[in-house]
Amino acid sequence: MNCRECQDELLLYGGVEALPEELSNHLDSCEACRRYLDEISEIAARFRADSDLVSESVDVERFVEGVEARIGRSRVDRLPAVTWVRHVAYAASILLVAGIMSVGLRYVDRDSPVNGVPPSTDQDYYAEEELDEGVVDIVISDFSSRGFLEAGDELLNDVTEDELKYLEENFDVRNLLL
Amino acid sequence: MTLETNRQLEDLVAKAKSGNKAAYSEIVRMMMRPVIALTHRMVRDREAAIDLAQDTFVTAWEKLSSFRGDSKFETWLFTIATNKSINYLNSAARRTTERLDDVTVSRVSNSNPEDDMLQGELRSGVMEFMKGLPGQQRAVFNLRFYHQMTFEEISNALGKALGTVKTHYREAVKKLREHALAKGWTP
Repeated sequence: MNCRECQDELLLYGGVEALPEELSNHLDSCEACRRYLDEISEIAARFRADSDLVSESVDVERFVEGVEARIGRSRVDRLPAVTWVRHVAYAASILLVAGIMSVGLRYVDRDSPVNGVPPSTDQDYYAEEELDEGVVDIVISDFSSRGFLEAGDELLNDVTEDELKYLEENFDVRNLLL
Repeated sequence: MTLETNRQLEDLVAKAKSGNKAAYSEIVRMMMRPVIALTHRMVRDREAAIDLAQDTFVTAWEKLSSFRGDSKFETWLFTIATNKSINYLNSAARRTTERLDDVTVSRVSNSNPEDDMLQGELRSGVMEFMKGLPGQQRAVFNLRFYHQMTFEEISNALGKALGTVKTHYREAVKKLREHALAKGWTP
């Protein structure tokens, strides 16, 4: 270690904490660096002697009361309540999102086009709900798994008069089957 | 801080962590002066320094559960105070109104007038020197010079690389030496 390196390091440690061994070894044999350390230490001691008057002038109890008043209003005191409210809020949010998704999905299902043509009126929605889904399944199943005319014949035998009337009114069944 | 004081502080911190406000008030009593001294050296404004010190204790109370004891409690407290002071210095409003705290400089009350004069000169010299340091350099100097924190502690406290912290401190002490030479304060 040369003197320049030593003095650079003395700036870091001088007057604050014990010197690293390498520095001490250099100082043992270097008068100039010892003088430099003395100078730094003296300046440091002088500066440190300047006690902070503001901290000494503050009224202790008034300061503590100020902190206590603010702590009384701080989040920590309200932590249990805040946690409870937070959990309720989380639960409400989850229920709200689930509800919106459920309603949204039902709405999307209803509003999605059937053969590219969405129902045009509310009446159409109600009419669709009155349709016997079991019958429609049978219709689709039979229609897709049998021969065309045979399926049509059997289909007409299976449905009631009311259901046939409904199918005729809404799906132009006769044109499809005949 | 003596070993006994440290032990006492540790006991109080343990009690405060379990929600004991009286114990925390005792901590405030013990630590308020060094914290105010730190914030005042950083911002050099009496009222702001006291506000920042109170903020520091409120934040420390709120975050007490996160203090794991990896560092000394006072180091943790000084870290909060320093970061609050740096934020304060960085605030746009403050940048335009930074000034020397004349009230502090004039509040010298030694019995000997000659001592008063020397002390007053020293005080204004210290304040003038601190004012000349950029915020981060001032923070590093303050923590190391007045609060004897290690470079590693300062590095962790400020979130700066160890090398950067050492450079800041070295530059600050160089300036301090030049300042002292210019004032004729060298031995």
